[in-house]
Formats: sequence, C-alpha cells, structure tokens
Amino acid sequence: MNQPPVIAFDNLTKRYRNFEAVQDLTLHIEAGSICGLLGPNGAGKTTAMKTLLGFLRPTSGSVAINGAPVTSSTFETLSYVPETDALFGELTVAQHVELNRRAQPRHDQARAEELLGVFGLDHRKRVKKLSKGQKTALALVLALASKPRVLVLDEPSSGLDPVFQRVVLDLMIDAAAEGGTVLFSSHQVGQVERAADHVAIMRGGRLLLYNNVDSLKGQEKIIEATFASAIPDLNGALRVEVVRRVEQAGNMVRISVKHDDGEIAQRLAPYNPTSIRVVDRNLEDIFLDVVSEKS
Amino acid sequence: MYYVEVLFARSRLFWFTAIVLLAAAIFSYFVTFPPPHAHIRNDGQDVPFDGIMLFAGFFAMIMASILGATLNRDGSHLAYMWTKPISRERIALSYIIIDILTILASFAIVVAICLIELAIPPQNHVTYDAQSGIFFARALVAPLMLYGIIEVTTSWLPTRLAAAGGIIWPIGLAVEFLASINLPFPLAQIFYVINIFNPIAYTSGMHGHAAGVAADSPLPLDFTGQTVLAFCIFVASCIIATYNWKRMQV
Repeated sequence: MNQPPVIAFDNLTKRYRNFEAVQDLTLHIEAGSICGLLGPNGAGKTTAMKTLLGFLRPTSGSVAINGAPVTSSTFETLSYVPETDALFGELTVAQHVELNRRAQPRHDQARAEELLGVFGLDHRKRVKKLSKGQKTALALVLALASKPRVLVLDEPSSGLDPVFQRVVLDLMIDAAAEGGTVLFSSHQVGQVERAADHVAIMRGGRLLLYNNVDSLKGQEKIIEATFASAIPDLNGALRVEVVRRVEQAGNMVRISVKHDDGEIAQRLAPYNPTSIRVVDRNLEDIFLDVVSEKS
Repeated sequence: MYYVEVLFARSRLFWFTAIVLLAAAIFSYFVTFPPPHAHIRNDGQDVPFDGIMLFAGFFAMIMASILGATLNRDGSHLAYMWTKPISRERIALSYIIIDILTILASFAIVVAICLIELAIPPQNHVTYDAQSGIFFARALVAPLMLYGIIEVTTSWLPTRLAAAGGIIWPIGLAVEFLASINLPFPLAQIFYVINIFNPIAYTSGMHGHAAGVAADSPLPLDFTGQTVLAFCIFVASCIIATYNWKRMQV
C-alpha cells in the first residue's frame, strides 16, 4: 500500500474577502525530502504554511500531515519555526527550554544543550534581550530539541549571520538524513539550492513549479564562452532551436540550451573563444525564468 | 503551557502581596504611633465581616484586572503555543484555572492581612450576621466575573489590548450610572440589559449591602440571585472566551 505524502496540500485555496492569498495549491512532499518554498513577497508561502499548521482555516481544499488532518497530537512529531518572533520576551532562554521539556514528550535535553552551545545562547538571558538572529536561533533549538519527524520553517535564517545561516542549513540536512521531512520558505535562492532536494516556486498565491532540484538543473544547460576581446556577432551561429536565451557579460556569453549535444560548441569554434564550458543552470536562473515566464 | 502562566501569575502575586503588606505596615504604624492631633481609633471596636469581604473583593478585582486579558495577552505567541501537542482548549483552560487560583489567593492574602491587623492589640472584634455567607460568596464572585468579562471581550482579538483591564473600570462605572438614571426609551432598557453584564455594578451592590443600605440597584434579582447570576456569567464568559480563542485565525 502506498504511503501518503508526509505533507499534502490538496486544491488549497485561502481567500480573504476579495483577495486570494493561496489559489488551488496542490503540493505533496514525500518522506525524507527537503522542500524549499521560494517566491517573492506576497507569494502565499506563509499563508500556505499557516493553513497547513491550522492557524488559518482553508476557504476550500484540504491539508494533511501523514494523510491525516492536523490536530494537537500532530505536533508531537512536527516542529514549526515561525517567521516572526513568537517566544516569550519575559522568559529566559533556560525557561524556554524548560517550557519545551514540559510541553514536548519527545524533548531531548542533551540535544537542546548541544544546540544552545552551537548558537552560543546564554541560558540566563531574557528573550527580549536577544537579537533577532538569536531569537531565531532559540526557536530553532527548541524545534530541533523535540526530535521532529516533520520540520516546517518559515524564513529560518532570518536575521542570522552567514555562518549561522550555514549551520541552520546543515541542521536541516541532518534532520532529513535521519528520515525527517523538511518544508522551509526562503527569499534566498542560494539557501534553497544548497539545502533542498525539491523546490516549489509560488507567485501571487499560485504554485508555478514543483520539481526535484537536480532534475530541474539538468533539464537545460548553460554554455559559457569567453572571448579574448569584444564578443563577436554570434547571431548567425546561435539561430538554432535548442537555444533558449543568450546573455552577455563583459567578454563572456552565456547561452541557455535545452540540451547540449556539442552543436553549439562547434558553431562557436570559428569565432575563436578562449574557453568554452558547459555548466548546469543554477536555481536562480530557474527561479527567474519561471517567475518571468508566468508573469 | 501552563508553566508560562504560572510564572506570570506568580510574579504578579508577589508584587501584589508586597504592596498590600507595605500598605498594611504603614497602616499599622500610624495606628500604633498616631501622629499628634490625628483621630485614628483602634480601641476594640466592632468590625463587620462584610467590610473585610468588601475590602478583599476590591483588591481581588484589581488582580482580576491585571490577569483578565490572559488569552489576548499571549496572542503574539500563538505560533509557538499552538504548535505543541496540547489541545487549545486545554491550554486556555489551564491559563484560566491558574488565573482563578491567583485571584482567590490574592483575596485570601488580603483577608489574612486584615485579620492579622485586627488581631493587633487592642483587638477589634469581627462581627458576623446571617448574610455573611452570601456576602462572602459575592465578594469572591465579583472579581471572577470581572475576570471573565475582560477575558471574553478580548479573547477573540488578534491584536493585543493590554489596557482592557484598566478601561473596563470607567466603562463599568459609566454604564452603571446610565442604567440607574431615567433615560428615555429604548436607552434605559438597553443600558439595563448591558448593566447585567457589568461587573462593576455587582461591586456597587456589595458596598450598599455592607453599609446596610437597602439596595437601589439597577440589577435584576435580589442579592443572592445577583450573586448566582454573576457566577453564571463568569462561567459562561470563560467558556465563550475559550471557544473564541481556539477558533481565532492568526
């Protein structure tokens, strides 16, 4: 029998009066996957997550975790790190850990202490005295100390410096390596590219694309040709069906092709480029293509 | 999640007790060492039990005002609170129960301090009558009703309304005043009904009763009936507040 997806949005629509924040979203995330949710501001990422967690009621459609509607018991194995600070300003770091210990049956004190050390958080400090990044770090510590099987993070590296951003991504990767499923939203394409195996791109409340990151990157190639001086007129050489887009930067020309069978390199050879290399498209190219194509 | 509310209530109860003790100490000092020409008497006079209850009830209402908007106060923490394996009803009820116990504790503390004050020689005598039992109940119920009304009026608000506990006092006094004067139809009827849900009106009723004055209250029912009604409003308020809170979309 097929296992249900760990996280499922089925035809989810969330409407506020005349504004549809999420429109007919269908997205299934399988066990062990790290899904990065990308989209510009107002894309509907946070609304989708809040509906998944039961903070908002769907206008139509449904959401499920492990095939079941979300109830309080869902949170025995699901941890959430919100975009905004939801911790208690008057409580200390240690009191938050104690609160988590009392509220979460799966709380692992040793793991909590280890993570507090990683982020250098002072037990005695009140949360209102922490920086934005430290608050995010504490929220992450509490989420991960509960040994979640499902981790939902809304802008998890918000306010963190680059070193701790890397730590957060590594922690997500570790969680997935241990069989956990991660859904996280981000504005930073590089973060999604580094940590996620699947990417979902939303805009204007609609899901524009959901696919495996490696497969997406492999679907098209970029041929980068560098010339010793100014780029010659290549129009004649590049008027073939496989070429999707041509960009120029300094002495380099980047040619997006649907597939590379060596034809473009052969066509460029007469123009004497100093180097030609074929690379995968990066996620930023894919994101910009998808968002601009559907606009 | 009750741990958060225990910490909050404990700190408020600590400061409440400290302030009441300080006030009692100052009072005791002036009674024991009255300033020249002052007319402070502490010569073994009778003190009605109802007066102590009125005094303790008033202080407990201050505590109820401080604690009243509990569910609304934690509105910005819902993303944390609602993602724990504890039902929302249980979270809300645990908060309310802790608050009720804190209000009762503040009442008991004031009563205890009053009795200790009165025991300082020369002793005063606390007098009881047949109505002392129901007066005790009313003095306990009035702060609880105030708590319930603040809770139910703020629990459904997505944004914080920290001043609710303070605002309700002038509003309550104004409503009681408007209910007691002869307004034209239908205003008189409207304010009469609104006043039934006004906790301040139930406190004024206590004051009149303690003073032995025939109640000219704009509330329906007799003193006992009003006390039962106030308790019912308190229970209903807590249930509705819990329902509103758990249905909130954030």
